[in-house]
Amino acid sequence: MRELRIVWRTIQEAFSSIKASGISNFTVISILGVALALFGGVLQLNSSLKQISQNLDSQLEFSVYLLDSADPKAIAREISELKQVEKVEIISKDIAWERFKKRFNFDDLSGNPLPNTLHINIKRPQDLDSAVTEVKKLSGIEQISYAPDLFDRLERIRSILFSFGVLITFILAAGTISIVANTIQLVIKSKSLEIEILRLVGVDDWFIRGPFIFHGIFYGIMSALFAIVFLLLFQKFIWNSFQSSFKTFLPLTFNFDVGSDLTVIFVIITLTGILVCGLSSYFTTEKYIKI
Amino acid sequence: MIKLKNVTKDYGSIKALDRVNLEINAGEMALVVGASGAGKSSLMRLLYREEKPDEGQIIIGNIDVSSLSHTKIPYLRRRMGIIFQDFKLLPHKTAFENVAYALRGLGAEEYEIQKRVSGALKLVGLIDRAFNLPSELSGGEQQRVGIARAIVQGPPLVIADEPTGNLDPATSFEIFRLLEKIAERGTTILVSTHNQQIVQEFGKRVITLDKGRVIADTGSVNVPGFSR
Repeated sequence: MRELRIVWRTIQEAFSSIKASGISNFTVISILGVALALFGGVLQLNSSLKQISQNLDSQLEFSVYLLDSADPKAIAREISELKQVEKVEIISKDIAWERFKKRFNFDDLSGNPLPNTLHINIKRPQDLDSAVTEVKKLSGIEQISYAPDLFDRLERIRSILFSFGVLITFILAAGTISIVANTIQLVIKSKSLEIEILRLVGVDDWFIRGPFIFHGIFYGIMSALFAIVFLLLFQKFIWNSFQSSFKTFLPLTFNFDVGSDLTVIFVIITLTGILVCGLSSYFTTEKYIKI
Repeated sequence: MIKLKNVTKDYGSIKALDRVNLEINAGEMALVVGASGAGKSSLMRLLYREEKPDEGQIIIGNIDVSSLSHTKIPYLRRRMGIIFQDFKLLPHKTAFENVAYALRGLGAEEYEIQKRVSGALKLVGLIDRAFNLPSELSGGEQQRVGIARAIVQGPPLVIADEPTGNLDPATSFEIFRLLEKIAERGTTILVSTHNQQIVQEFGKRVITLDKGRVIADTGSVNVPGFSR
């Protein structure tokens, strides 16, 4: 019971010091909140790019344009026998021309210039290059359209973005640690008489340090909330519209639903905030409070 | 109650205490006197382990203060009350809250806090000023609050470092009478002062320090095995 009473009073003392810190609370929370939001953004971007890469597994395809003299069905049969190929779809030049005219509201002026086309889906993204090489060997091929090394390039971009984001986050976190430490140091200085009295009457070490550490943890929790609200607003108003634009420009359909990852990201942000601020306050009390 | 054996404390080239030997019995009230820089405050600070001796041994009750580990210091301090020259009261807390503050930190129950703080304030004659802020109290009253805080846990030992240093002579006498009253209840009290009038008036044991050495002790006991 005594321990519980001390814990409860430690929290009360912490709130009294938070109240006494006034406007500096907002400064610390907003700066740390921005750092955590950036960290969350990096995690979210990484998660989305990972999903895009994974979705390429089932959606990667390339197009083969045939010479007018070639028989699309025969070539499609040959290609579908390749071990790398999942599916071959024939788009005849007539169907392609109809679709083109309909899409661009175009009148038939000088006849159909489009070739017969085959859309080929491959089983694994890493098989793309070998599949294209095999298809090139066939006769009747006019041109092949594909994005070589797309999977690898996307993975490289994701890895670079993630590393860069983590680096920026670390720099911001280092700055934040010093801001939290300075704020707690100021609170400790303003409470030097209380601290002196408490230690001279034999109050336990952790009751003296506890309120300051809790103060830091409070900053961590509030900053994480700030970051979560920011990320939710970003997701709702900016990311979603970016997503629809992205879909229009790319021929591939991506699934950007990161709802489940978002919960994990929020947990990571909150734990990071608590850990960074809690440790920062702990080391500050170790340095400035001598029992 | 208190035993010092060959205690030495240096601050660089300054010898604050030089091979001090002392023994103070339980329930005794002793005054430590000496000019500024004689070593009075250093002695007090060693007793409540704010400082550690460079040499020698300090024993309070059955606790060896000189070799006490850092984590055990709070246990020592709970067995003593400390009174300061500058009162060390929290300006935004009332007299009652100032006395109760430490008890809260020690985890005492609310009804116990009410009972103990009221008792301590009654003993120092300030129960009717319990809800006044320090700024609304005179210097003597503020020091009474400081004394109430020191005795509220019922410690067997009270250490007072120049408790009347900031007070006028009449108020100083009142404070010493109060300390004498507390000593009569069985508490060991060690008070440092440079007020000669008080020393003569109260006729208690007087330990005189000069340049860190005990040069006179009106009531010292002979402790076998102690070298002087």
